Amino acid sequence: MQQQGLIKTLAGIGLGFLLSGSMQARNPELPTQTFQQFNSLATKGQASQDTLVSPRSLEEYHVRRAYPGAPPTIPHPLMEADSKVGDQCLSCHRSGGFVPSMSKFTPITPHPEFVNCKQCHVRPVVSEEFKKNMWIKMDSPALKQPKIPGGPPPIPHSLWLRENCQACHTGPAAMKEIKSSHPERVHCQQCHVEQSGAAEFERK
Amino acid sequence: MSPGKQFSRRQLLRMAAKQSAILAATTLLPGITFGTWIRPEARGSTFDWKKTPCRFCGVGCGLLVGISDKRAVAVKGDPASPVNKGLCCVKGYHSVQALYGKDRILKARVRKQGKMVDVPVKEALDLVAQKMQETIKQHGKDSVAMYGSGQWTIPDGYVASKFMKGLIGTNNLEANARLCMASAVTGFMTSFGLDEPMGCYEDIDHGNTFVMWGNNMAEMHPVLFSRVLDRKLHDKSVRIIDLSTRVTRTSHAADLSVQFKPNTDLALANGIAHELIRTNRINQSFIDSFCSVYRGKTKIGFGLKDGFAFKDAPEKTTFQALKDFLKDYSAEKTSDITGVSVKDIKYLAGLYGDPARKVVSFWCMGVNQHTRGTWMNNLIYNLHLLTGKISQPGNSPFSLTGQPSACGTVREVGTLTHKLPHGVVMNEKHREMAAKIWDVDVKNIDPKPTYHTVEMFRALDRGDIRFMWIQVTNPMVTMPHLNRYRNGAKKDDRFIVVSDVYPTPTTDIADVILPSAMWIEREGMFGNSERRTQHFDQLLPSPGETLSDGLQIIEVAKRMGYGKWFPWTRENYVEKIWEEYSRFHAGPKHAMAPYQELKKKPGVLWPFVNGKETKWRYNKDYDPASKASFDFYGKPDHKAVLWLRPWEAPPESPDQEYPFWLNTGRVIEHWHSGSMTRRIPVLHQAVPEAYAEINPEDARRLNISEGEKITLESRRGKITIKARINGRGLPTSGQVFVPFFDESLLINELTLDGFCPISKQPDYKKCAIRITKAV
Repeated sequence: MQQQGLIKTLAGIGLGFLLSGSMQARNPELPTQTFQQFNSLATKGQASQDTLVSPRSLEEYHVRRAYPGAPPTIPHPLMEADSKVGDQCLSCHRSGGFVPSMSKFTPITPHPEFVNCKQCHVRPVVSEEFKKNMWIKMDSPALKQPKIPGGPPPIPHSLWLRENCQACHTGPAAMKEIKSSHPERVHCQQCHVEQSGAAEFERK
Repeated sequence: MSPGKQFSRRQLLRMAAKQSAILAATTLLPGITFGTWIRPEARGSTFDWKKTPCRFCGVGCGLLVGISDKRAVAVKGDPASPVNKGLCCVKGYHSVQALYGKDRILKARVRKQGKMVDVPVKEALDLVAQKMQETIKQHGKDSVAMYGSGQWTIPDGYVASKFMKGLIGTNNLEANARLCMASAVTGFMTSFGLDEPMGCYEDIDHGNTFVMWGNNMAEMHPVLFSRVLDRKLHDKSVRIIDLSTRVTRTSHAADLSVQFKPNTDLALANGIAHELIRTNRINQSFIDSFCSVYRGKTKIGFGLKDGFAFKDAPEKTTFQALKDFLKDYSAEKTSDITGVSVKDIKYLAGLYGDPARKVVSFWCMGVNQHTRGTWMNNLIYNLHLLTGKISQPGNSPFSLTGQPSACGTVREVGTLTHKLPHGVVMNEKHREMAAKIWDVDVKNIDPKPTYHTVEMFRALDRGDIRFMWIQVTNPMVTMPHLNRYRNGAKKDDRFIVVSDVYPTPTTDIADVILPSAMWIEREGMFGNSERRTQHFDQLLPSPGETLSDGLQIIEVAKRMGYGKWFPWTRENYVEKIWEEYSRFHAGPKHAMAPYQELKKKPGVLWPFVNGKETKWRYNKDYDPASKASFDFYGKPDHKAVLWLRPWEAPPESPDQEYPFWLNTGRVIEHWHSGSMTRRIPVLHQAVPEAYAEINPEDARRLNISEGEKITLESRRGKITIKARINGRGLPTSGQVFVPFFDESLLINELTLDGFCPISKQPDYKKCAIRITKAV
């Protein structure tokens, strides 16, 4: 199962590279080194999305959020003219893809139906604070907490605005710690359920 | 899916035994993991979600704040709120971080020998009461004043009103909403006789034509704007029209964005009206049955001098007179005045006049912060009255409010010089009602209004006011023509008390600083733009020595001998105030929901009549107070007013010496003067400082590059600031825009304190400046 999935993903990346490769021919400024490295590994059957680029980590995910579930800040440079209300941001973030200039795969938004992106997502342009803030950052939810051994862990976060599991848990942009071991199973909520935090059932 | 795997009984038992063994082992030997199974710990996932309206803008989103260990740790949009349906904006999502700035004011401070020293809050309250009493004794009751806010909760405003108007007996009570919503109020009063919108946000779900009149809704009412955008996704007939003096994020999202010359919105509205009449796309039977026509005075001045007084003289007239009046606003003549093409003027008239289109007009500061703001409000209402597109789902002239409780507190409680919780001080019946509910002698209530905000600060400058108590607002950043009013407040023999949560340029000039409990650190209610009152419990302990603004006033009132009128405890005062206040609004035109209802629900619209919200007022199908199919019962003849209002030039336009327009406003990340939002790290980091937006052609001509320091100068002040070219907003040539959130770049030193003579609201959008490269 793992093999099949890997091959599929490789094929996808390969195609992506073919396409971006042809773009590179037109734009010599884009880095070619990583592409060649990947290519050579791929021919030896040793390539995977993890060897090519530093896979996204959960730590960098949480750094961008004031608390788990907060809208992340925008980590890449951004021109005002390229990010107007509408589907400009979605041109990358709707379906993802590899961005050579950042050596990363674009994360996919779980909520493409909202198109006023900068209503919630902003780009920090300085790193210092105006006045110090004593904010205490909540722990992020613990991972891999099945209720019984070998069971499907329940969903440790709210599904509000995050109903599309595949956006974050599958694909080359997924964070390595939460990457699904079975992306081909697409009905996630068959096994993984939200938790309400309610007390245990007790018959009155 | 294959049938579930069958476990043999033995397998089941073995599994069960294994589980219970592990369970037993973990309990006996905690901290040791057995196999791959770790007992799940509730890390970061067990806390309470509590509802509150957002602290920031007039949309009034419902939030759920995550509380853990007496701290706010997270925010969600409240999916149960019909306002935002679970979505927020960047300010709302990070709002709770504003509670935790390190330099939070937790102690009272008093100026002793020129220096501010910490004192116990009781001592500070004693001093405030003493000074207030002394000042009244020496200079009379009208020498003391209170300046509050559209960010006051409803109970705070109510206490201020009862204290100042019922007990002290002065009408020196104003609020910063005078600077943001006064023209909207007088617009409502002159057109309909009653304040606040006739429709509600649900109009967005029914309308298919959304016209923004001079407001950058994408940044200023972002969640409502997202509701409009969502409509576009689901209904191909939806059109979004942006009418503005500068290109903004809203412009880019619109189907059509049209720029008009500053102040010519008056002509544009008249031009559309003319075109509607010319092409006979008006609803004549609606006009005949439900509208009257009036004209008022013209060339009414701008209030630039102290003591400026204006009283309009409305004159009833005919629809034919309106038609004749509009002859000066043919599409061609309007195009000359406004710079908008004839084609666009006709297209706009086509949208308003198309019977298949349900039109929602939105506006805010572009229309209200305007030396003819009242007129401009009237003119937008005219378009909806001429077409009969009003008081029905989807047909809605919607005046958006800026602050979270300018409606709820300033307008509905009436914390303005001429207002009472019901009605006005000038009306004997209204005074009698207040006297009865407040249990005071009716003679205590002064029938003569004193000063509106600009005049109040002028009076402070002149010395007619010697004591001012400022709560929840930052006039030393936000008053227009700032240097005069700052110098005035700093004069000897002026005693300034400031209640706030963070140090600001206003606390800098205070004689006493009182530490305020902030937002969810105390119980309260806000009222948003759509007449929705929203309650919030105290969700967090109030830190240090902080007290709610209302409790501060009560403590001072007690010290002045007025304890009898505030007999409540700290636990029940909000509920008790609500009960007393609600009595003012009894009846189907304004009834408020009971306290328990507010506690349960994510807000309740008023009028709340027989358990139901009145979503559309003045329409018999929805409004129990309406006696006819359309009944504008705010007016004696039950008719809405079509006003004849001309275009007039503003007091100060660009000329040879000062050839640029100066416009001011906000950005989505920052709220007002930035005292809260700049202390939220992500918001400060997104927009750390103010800047001056310049048109690229102007920049080229003046040889200014991006980020270069330039000097802006008006007849009143100057400032050195970085230029921003091709930022999020694009001014037209000859214009500059500066956001006002940055207390180190006080743009209001340049603005003009001219105001609408009817509403007394200043115009922050237009004055004349010159630009030079900074040396």
